[in-house]
Amino acid sequence: MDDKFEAILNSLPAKEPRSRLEPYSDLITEMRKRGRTYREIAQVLKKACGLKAGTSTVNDFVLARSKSKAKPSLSTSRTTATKKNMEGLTSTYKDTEGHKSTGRPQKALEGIAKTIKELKDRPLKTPTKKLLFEYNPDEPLRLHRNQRTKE
Amino acid sequence: MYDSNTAATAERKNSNSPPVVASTAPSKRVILTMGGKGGVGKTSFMLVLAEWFECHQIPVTLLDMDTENKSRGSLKHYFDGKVTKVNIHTAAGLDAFVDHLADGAPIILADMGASSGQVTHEWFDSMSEDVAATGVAFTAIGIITPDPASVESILSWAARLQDRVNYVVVENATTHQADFSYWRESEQAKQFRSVFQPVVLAMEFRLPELENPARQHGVTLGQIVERRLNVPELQRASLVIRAQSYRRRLFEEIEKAKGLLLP
Repeated sequence: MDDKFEAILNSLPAKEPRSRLEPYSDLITEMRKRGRTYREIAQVLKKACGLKAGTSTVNDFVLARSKSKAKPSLSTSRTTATKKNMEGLTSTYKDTEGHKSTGRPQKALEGIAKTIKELKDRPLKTPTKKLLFEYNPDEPLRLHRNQRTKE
Repeated sequence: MYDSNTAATAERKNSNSPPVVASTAPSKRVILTMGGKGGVGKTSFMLVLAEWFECHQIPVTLLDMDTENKSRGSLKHYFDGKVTKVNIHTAAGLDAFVDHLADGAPIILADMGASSGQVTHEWFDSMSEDVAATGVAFTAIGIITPDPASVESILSWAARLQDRVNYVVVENATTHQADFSYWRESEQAKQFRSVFQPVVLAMEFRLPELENPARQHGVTLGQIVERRLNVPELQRASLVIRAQSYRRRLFEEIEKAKGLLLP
């Protein structure tokens, strides 16, 4: 950064925390991890810290912080999810023989493998082209009366 | 497209038995006219057929699928109130068959209109196999006149429907001494008869003084015979007796095809 801009920034007074809850951030985060509800957290803050904050205020604070923390992009999270699914799927196939992680009975997996093989081996149903009766409407009807008369 | 079972086909070709449509014994039947050519007498025959069923107290569902023919000459014109008009030119095509059969009707008489071929053929390609599997058999009725176009019409239909239906062919004598040469002697028609062995019925020439007022007023032969009408020109004794004769002889002809008309 330019030295001039750096000097300007340094001359600015320190900005007050935007939320009154900021000093208690770690405490609130830990309480959430331990399963405390927003209402309970608000009560603890009031009793133990003398800080009066509503349930919705605590809620907004936690949400805002969780958003500002390293937010992965949508495409990244999708990729991760897809990778997870793929791992799950491949592990199902990989584990077909030994099979311990999925907990699926060995017999059932063998049945699925057999069904898949049968499905793959089954020939495609192609319509039979052979017709019992064919008629070309562009051809005139052919009479054989005269030939018979000659006979 | 048509997918024939080759093994079954070969077996059928070697035997002289008539073609079998459904793998299970049919419990219901759809009888439809092959509606390629207009004015050949499709509706006239269907009227007599409907009367034949009525005479034997067999309930039938009448479907008028002739959307082009809106008034005189349509099945609805003769059996108004007992006929359901169906527009087949929709995405659902002939699905009305399935719905009416599901409602309990054992037999459906469907009078197809001219130019209904494409829709019907496409419906058979996509639906008939599954419908037949539920025990529904199909009978296609072709009407032949001395006009070779009527022969060409049923041959075209048969080339698409193949053995998914049974065939009944009616020789409609539109003149006193009708000449059916193109039907009886053309190579293509002979091949059709050889492959599908249709039951052939005769529909004799009817006097214009009976036929024309009957069409004009929408009355059936039965109504003329039973004098259930108020049409002076159809109350002449000779015409009443003639209507009775026509009906009796047509009923005798229809009996020949009863195996393909009943479920």
